[in-house]
This record gives sequence, structure tokens and C-alpha cells, in this order.
Amino acid sequence: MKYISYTFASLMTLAMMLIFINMGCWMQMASALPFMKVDPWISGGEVTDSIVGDNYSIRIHEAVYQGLFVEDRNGYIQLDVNGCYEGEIELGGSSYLLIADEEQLVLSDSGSGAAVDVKKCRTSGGWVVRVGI
Amino acid sequence: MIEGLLIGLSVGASCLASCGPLVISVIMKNTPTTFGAYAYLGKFLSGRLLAYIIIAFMVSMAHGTEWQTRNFVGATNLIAGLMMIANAFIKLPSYCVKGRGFKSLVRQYAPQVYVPTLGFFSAINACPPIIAAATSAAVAESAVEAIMTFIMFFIGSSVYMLPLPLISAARDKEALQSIGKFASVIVGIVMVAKGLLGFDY
Amino acid sequence: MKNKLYSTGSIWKSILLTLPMLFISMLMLSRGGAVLTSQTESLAYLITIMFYCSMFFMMLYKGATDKWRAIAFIVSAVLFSVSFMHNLVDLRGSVTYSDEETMMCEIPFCHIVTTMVLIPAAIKQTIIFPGSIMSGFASISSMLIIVFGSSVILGRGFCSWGCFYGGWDDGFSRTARKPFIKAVNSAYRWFAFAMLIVMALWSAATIMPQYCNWLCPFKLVTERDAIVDIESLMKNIVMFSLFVALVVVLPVLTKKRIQCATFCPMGAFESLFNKVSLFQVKNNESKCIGCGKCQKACPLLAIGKDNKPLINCAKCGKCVDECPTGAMQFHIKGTPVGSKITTARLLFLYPAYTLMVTLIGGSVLEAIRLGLSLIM
Repeated sequence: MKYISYTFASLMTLAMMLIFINMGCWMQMASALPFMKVDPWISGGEVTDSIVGDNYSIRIHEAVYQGLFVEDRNGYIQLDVNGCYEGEIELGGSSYLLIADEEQLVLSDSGSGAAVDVKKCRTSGGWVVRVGI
Repeated sequence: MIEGLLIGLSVGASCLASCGPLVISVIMKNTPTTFGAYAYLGKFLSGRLLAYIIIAFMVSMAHGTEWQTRNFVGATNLIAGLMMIANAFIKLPSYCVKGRGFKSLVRQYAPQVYVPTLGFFSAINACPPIIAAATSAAVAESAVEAIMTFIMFFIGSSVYMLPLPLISAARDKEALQSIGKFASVIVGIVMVAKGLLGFDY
Repeated sequence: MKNKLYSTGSIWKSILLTLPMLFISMLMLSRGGAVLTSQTESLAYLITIMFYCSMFFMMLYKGATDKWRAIAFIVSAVLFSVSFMHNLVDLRGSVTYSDEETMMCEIPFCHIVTTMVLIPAAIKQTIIFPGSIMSGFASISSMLIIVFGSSVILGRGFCSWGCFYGGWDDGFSRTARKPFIKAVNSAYRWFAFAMLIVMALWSAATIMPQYCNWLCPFKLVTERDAIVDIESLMKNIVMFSLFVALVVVLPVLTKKRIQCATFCPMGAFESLFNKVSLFQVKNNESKCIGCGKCQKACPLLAIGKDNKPLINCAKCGKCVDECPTGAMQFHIKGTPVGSKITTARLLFLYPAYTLMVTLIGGSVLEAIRLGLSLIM
């Protein structure tokens, strides 16, 4: 028994090195595991639709909700806006007016005209916006 | 009613995640026998059941404004949080003391009242499982049906809590008690912060 | 007398035993030859290797584990922070992260997050962290592999040999000559386990790593929330206060690693791996005289009243160094207690030190390179 223990202990240094040396291979294997994806509540969810024009493109993600199991009423839809756009857009059954260019992005309710409070950030291509639903 | 049960079974893990720390803390801190631990769980769940019945009744009969709901939930979080912090420092008597006077009355009934009260206040929460059950109860035709929906939801979600008292079987009771005490304080601080600051966490 | 148990007694023997570590360091820090591209890089590479190998040499020659480990550990932690924060300033222009980094999933995955992602990973089959799965610095998959791999090998030894935050706590705990607060209630060691349970469940319930969100004191020396509203201001106040209290003040007053011993949920999680790891610190009862020096010395409150190491032992070697009779020993499970203690120690030191050199050494090299580029 003790010889087996000493043998295993001797191999631990090699094992430790192999964790790092073979990292590319381990990462490939790990990425195939079913849970190896960022939660859609954090990443924004899958892209379900897109609006493409001459000088703009808008990718619309699926609606995501917070909750371990069941969907909470808190949710949002993420838009990836590239280029300049001014027009109506349907999100989660509601109609909005979207104005986006290099300087600003404004989303307002089509009916009332009131500006919608959104979470947005500027990226190299344009804007990433999260519209609460 | 079946829908309530199914919602409870499907979201029970979320209930375990939210309310589990409270139950675990109480059980570990008081280090009862396994039977005693199940008794604590039973008392906690009884308070929770009463809260659910009241929520069901309110959902079916009246619709409060969001402001009122938010403040009410904030207040219950605060109370539950303070109770959890207190749980770390008080010892719940495990025996009935017969006698006269207020002190002996408190000692006699404290264990029966404290844990169910904790379960009651912690259950009044705008967490996803409650929202799901409330949505189902809101379309019920009568208050009785809404209450039955919530009772079935309670049964479904409580199933996940049944293994929790087994933690009392751990060998190192002293460590268990310390962990329970500290967990009570941490959970209490989190709930007080949620209650005072109104965070959605 | 105590250190003579483990001292090689000979410079040449120590050099010989250091040679494998020299080769390992050269290999693991070489980055495939990229370090030899410029004079500054090559010099930084040389300095880093010499530093780590000299500390390892001293561990063997002098026979004291903890003292030389601590020097390497503390320097590594400080230089890691320097390198990390410099990279952030280079990349983003600041050490703060805003909604942009979170929404674009560009946050490096810290090993402490592991405790908070496990339950959602099991239930929801997703990782609740705004990081990259495969690409970039400290990707999610790479950090999880490192954490689990090294924890299986070393158990909670990760906390004394691999954690790039622990050096801060360790460093401040050594600043005072004597503790101002002599008696620390050893029950506080269980606070970390309570933190683990509550944080894991709270994070699962809210789909957000809450320890990182609100409580991690080490955000002060890595990256933190940009202050844009009341909530982010409060987070920064909490984080700063916890760093001052748990990493600076209390370790100075008690000479214990308070943050690591009592607060870090990852430390409690790593403790569970002590059951799996082949290596342990054991009390040889035939030699123990019950003086209790090990209990007083242990920075993690990991020695019980019976002078036996508990589940939360991080294998730093301090009790082994302090024990007057050599009763506290490094031990390999499955071997007789008290036999071949030098071999057991050596067989532990190699993988433990390899972890330190590989995991943190790269950042240390980078920090030294930055320093040299300012001078040269």
C-alpha cells in the first residue's frame, strides 16, 4: 500500500504540470460539457431575429428572465445595434421607436413617445441595449 | 390545483436555494437529534404554509399596488432578517417549562412560536416561485381554489426541503452549531439589507 | 533543532534537489519561447526563475517550509496585482468595470467564483458569470480546470501555494512581531463554511455570484465596480471596508490570516478536497508533547484542541516548522506515520511549488518586465 502511495505522490508533480501544459486539450473537453455556457440572463440569450439595411443591422435576442427554475417577471430583450437606424421596432409584443447613431441611442414608446429606460453600452460596432420587459 | 403542485415541484429547487439557508441555520445552530431537526422543519413549514394561505387569500380577493407590495415584502424581509440574527444568539429551549409568570410562559412557548414565525415572515417574499404560484392563483375562480393552489404549491416545493434535517446527523456537533450560528447571522444580514435597501437580490 | 529534521544539511544536495524545480520553472514560464524575444523579457524571465528557485533552495537547505514559502507567496500576490491592474489599465483605461464589460462577458473568472457557479451549473446547466468560456485571460473553462485539478492534488494546499490573493493576508499577518490580540476564538474557522453555504445558495437563488458582487475584499487589488450610482458606491464601500478589516487590520492584530481563515468561501470549499488529496499534515502522537505551539502558530485556526490538524488545514508548513519535537509532519496517506517524513515533505513541495510558479509566476514575470521596462 505504501509503495502505491509513494508512487502516486511522485506522479503528482507531473500531474500538476500536465494540467497547464495540456490546457488547450482540457479546455476543448470542458467546453463540450453541457453546463459550459454563460447563463442567458448574463450573456443576453440567443439571437432570434435580425433587421438588416444598407447602413445598419439590428440583431434581436430572445427574451431572457431571471430565475433558477421558473421565469420571474423580470426579464429583458437584448439588441445589438450596428450603424445608424431610425424607425419602429417590435419587442415583446410592444412597439418602440428606436433612434441610434454613433453619438446616441434613444428608445421610446411608439404610442406615448415616452423614453424607455434601457441598459446600454457602446461597443466597437455600435450599441448593445437591454430593454426591460 | 394540480398546476400548483407541478409549479411547486418544478421550482422547489429555487425555494431550497432561497429558504434553505434559514432552515439549515436554525437546525445546525440548535443541534437537535434527527427527529428534533424534522420537528424544527415542520414548525418552519407550518409558518410558511400559513403565510401562503394568507397570500393566496389576498391574491384572490384584492390587488395591492406595487408600492404597497414592495414595502410589505421589505418589512417582512427586515423582520425575518432580525429574527435570523437573533437566532444566532438565543437558545431555543428544547423542553417545556411549567410554571407561572411571563418568563416561564415565554420559555414554554418560545420554541413553538419562534420557528413558525420565522417561516411565516420568510415566506412572504416576491421570489419567482411565489410569483408563479400567485399568477396561477390569481386566475382561480374562488378564494378556496386559490388557497388550494397555494397549498399544493407548498407541498410540491417542500419536498425539496425534506433532506435538510439529515444534516443534524453529522458527527461534529460543535462545528455544526458554529456553522449554524454564523449562517444565521449572514442570512439575517442579507435579509435586513434586502428589507432596508429594497434590492431585488 | 526542529528545522534540522528537514534540512538537507548540504548545499550541493539542496542544489541537486532544486534542479528539477529549475527545469520545471524554465519550462512552465517559457511561454513556448516567447520570453526570449527581447532583452527585457529575457532578463525578467531570468529574475523570476532565480527568485522562485532560490526560495525553493532555501526551503530545502534551511529545512523551514513556511518562511520561504511565505516570501514567494507574498511577493507573488503583490506582483500579480500589479500585473493584473496594469493590464486592465492598458486594455480599458481603468481598473474598474462597467456595464460594458459585464454585458460583453469580458470579466476574468476568479477561482473564488467556483463556489457560486456550481449549484446553477448543476440545476440550470449554465455558468452564472459574465466571462468567456474559452478565450481571453482567465477564461471560465481554464480556471475551473485549474481549480479542480490542483485541489484534487493538493487539497486546501491551494490556499497556501496557489491563491494569488492569499499572499496579501499572509503578508499583513506577519508585519507585527507579536499579536496584539492573542486569543482568537477558534470557532471562527467555521464562519467560512457558513459563508460557503449561504453564498452558494444565495447566488443560485439570484443567478448572480453574490460574494463577488458585494463582499470580495480582493476587488480592491484587482478590478472593481465603477461608481455610477448609490448601489455601486455601497459595493465599493463594503469591499474597501472588508479589505481594511479582514486583510489588513485583523491580520496585523492577530497574526492570523483572518480573511482566508474565516471569510473566504473558496477556502471552505477547498477544505473538502483535503479528504481527497494524497498529502496531509499529521500529528505523530508518539512524539507530541502537547505544548500547543502548533495551535498558536497556525494562521488558519486549523489545529484542534487535541493538536491535530483539522479539515481546513492549508498545508502551509508553519506548524511543522514550529513544532519543537517534530511531531507535526507532512504525510502521504497510506504510508506509515513518522517514516520517511523528509521524503513526504519533498514529494509535497514539488507539486505545490509547481502550482505557485505556473499559476502566478507568469504574472510575476510580467510585473518584473514592466518594472524593467521603466528602468531600461
